[in-house]
Amino acid sequence: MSVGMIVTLVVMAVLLFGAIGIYNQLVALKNRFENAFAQIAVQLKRRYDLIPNLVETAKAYMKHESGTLEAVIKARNQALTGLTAASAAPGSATAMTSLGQAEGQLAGAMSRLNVVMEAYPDLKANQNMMQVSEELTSTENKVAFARQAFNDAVTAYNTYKQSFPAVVLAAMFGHVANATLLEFADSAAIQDAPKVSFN
Amino acid sequence: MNFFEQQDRARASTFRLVALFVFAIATLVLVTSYLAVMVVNIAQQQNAARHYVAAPLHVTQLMPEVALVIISVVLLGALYRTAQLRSGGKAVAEQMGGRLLHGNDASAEERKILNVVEEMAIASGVPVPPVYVIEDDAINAFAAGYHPQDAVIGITRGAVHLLSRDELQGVIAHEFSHIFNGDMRLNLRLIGWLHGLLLITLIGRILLQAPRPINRDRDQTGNIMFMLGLLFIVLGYAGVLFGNLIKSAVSRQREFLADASSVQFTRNPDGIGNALKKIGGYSLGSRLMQSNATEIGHLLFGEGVYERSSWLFATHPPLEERIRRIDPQWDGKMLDPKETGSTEGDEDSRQSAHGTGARDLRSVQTAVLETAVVTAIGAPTDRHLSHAVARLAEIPDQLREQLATPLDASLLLCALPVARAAADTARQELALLQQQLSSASYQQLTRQLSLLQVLPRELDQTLLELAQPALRQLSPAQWQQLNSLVQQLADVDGELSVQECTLLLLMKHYQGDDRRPQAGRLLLVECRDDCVLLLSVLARAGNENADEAAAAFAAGWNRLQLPAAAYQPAAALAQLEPAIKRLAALRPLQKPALLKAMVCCVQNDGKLAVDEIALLRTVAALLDCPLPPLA
Repeated sequence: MSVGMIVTLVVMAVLLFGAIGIYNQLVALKNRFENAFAQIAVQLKRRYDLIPNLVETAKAYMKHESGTLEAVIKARNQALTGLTAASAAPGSATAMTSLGQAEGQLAGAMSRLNVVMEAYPDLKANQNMMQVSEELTSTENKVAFARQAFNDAVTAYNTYKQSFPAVVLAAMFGHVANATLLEFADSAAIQDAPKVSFN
Repeated sequence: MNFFEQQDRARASTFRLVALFVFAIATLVLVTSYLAVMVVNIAQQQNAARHYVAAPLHVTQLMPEVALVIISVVLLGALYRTAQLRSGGKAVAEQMGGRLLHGNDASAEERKILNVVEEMAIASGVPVPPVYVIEDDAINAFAAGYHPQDAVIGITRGAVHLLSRDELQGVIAHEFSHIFNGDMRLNLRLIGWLHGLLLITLIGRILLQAPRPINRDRDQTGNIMFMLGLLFIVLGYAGVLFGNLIKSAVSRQREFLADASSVQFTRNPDGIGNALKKIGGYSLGSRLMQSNATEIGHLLFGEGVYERSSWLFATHPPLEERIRRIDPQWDGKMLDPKETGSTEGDEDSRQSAHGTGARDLRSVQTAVLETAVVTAIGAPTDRHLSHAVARLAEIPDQLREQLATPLDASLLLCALPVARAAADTARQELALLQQQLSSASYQQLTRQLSLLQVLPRELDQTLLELAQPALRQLSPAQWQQLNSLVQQLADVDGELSVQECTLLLLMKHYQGDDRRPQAGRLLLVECRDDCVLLLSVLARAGNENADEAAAAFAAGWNRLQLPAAAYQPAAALAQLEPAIKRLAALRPLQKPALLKAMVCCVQNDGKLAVDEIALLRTVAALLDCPLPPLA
């Protein structure tokens, strides 16, 4: 075995291990954002579980607003299906955009409900209603925080995937599409302008 | 053998293993060169009959090339695998296909295992490790990680479903003892190096399948390649064989040790005994479906892959022998897990602790023996466990739920300094927080504040340990923001209090942000100045009067048997961090002396102030000697 052959072998080995390192890093970053989605799912599920409670309480007071209430329930059910689909494929473009849209519609229905509720002061003063509204607000906050963590993880994955040398091999390893960020239209429940931290 | 001797033994074992490994490679190189030369000579002799007579090769001519190839292959393989495992326990758990268990989304059975892990972690003074569930019906568990901060616990779905609370406690205690005895570090290194040896067989396989050149002269190059390939395969497998033999023998001893530690921890031989009996009586046993179970076999609780071949390669001792060592009166009958069910002995330990009457933590006045404190490190007992359960019971359920959500856990970390600060500092800090946080977050924080203010200060470190699984889910950017916010809170009043200092140090340490130098090489004499600083800070924290502080310092310094040094009243908390970083690189057997000195200094005046306890436990954590909460 000549020196040349040995050098070639060593270089090939180094390249091989480099490629393996890139593969593992891609897998690790993908796992990270998939795990981060789980936190969003937990908080969204809690929110979707609170909404029927809210609607039931409201029904007793708002006997003639069945249209608004039904719209809320419908939007909530759609968002729940969107969430189940997204949990199965976090980061895929279709799942993320459809979840974002469903959430947007739910937010719209909820804000219309809020507007209508203004006309029913007894409802607003109801203990149960106050508790549920309060929990909804806190869940909104937690969703926003979890979404921030998820988007950070997705950005890290995309950046690594698009930078050299990973960009050369990513498609070959099955990481073809960029992961999509999760965008929600900021609902009326999040009042303040985004601050530096924890928003 | 105590914690420090274990750590030291792990260090020594590593050194011996490296030596053994180098010896194995050298032998491999020699034998391969020799055999390669023989093969080539035979081939040349056959050629000589046809055309020319060439001078036969000698071993030393081929050796450099062969050596280079073998060494580079093994090194690269070993480096690659150890680098892959460098991210610690999480890498192993994800490779096994584990799913992270979230505290805020757990079913009743999952909540049970999370509670057990929390109790054991608090009892031993380490941050709560994340728990991964492996979707497999067998009963098995593992713990992986280089340090307690990056450790993870993995458990199978079968174990969660079929084992009762006591049995789960036994299994988790066994896993925790693996973490404390440094088995992880050794095992992960072993995996890496054996992988390197395995690669030699890969080369052999490549050579075997290499296309044979067809040459007009019909010389024997093709056959040479074939023989060399065969050679490499045989030798590679021989190396792996011996490596596995060593690994298995070491692993079996560790398993007995871990079983014994588990009994010591829980004082309940039935817990782990019944778990083993259930594995024996279960059709699936502890056999995992995952294919890489062989590689990480020695990290598991029970035998993960049932080898048909001999006991020589078993990573775990036979089940019957393990049960008999724990329960000498055993009648030989296994338990059927499906019959006996998983709910017996299941009353939440927290409820039983209420009955025993939790002690008032604020009145810890009794002098604590140094030896008792130091022996508790890495070897908690059932007393620590029941104390931990009592502590956990003091934390309101609302707060405990919040510790499982990343946002609320971050807010809690900001609320801690405010809760413990003096009135006007607190006002300033609240103003700062109101600026930086959204209004909903700020309101949540104020609610947490009211809950925190009634809790004793000793619980602060416990709260931080409980918050770890949620804090690990923060993205790096979010973690940076949290860190800088807490730092700003500490800077508000211009002085660093003990509480703020310990909070910042622990946050960085648990998150793994402090890059430490190569551990285990320094002697106490080389860190004399750092010891002076540490003891001075500790003395000042517990004694108002400068003379008393000097006396406490002297008492502690005596224990160290280093050349005399004077108490430094000007020692600042801010200088503590670099000093502790250096001290963390002490040799394991030097650490007990330092810890005993600290305890001696602290108890010199017969009273344990909250600041002293906080500093003591924080420094112990940063030195990688987890100190259970003082009972």
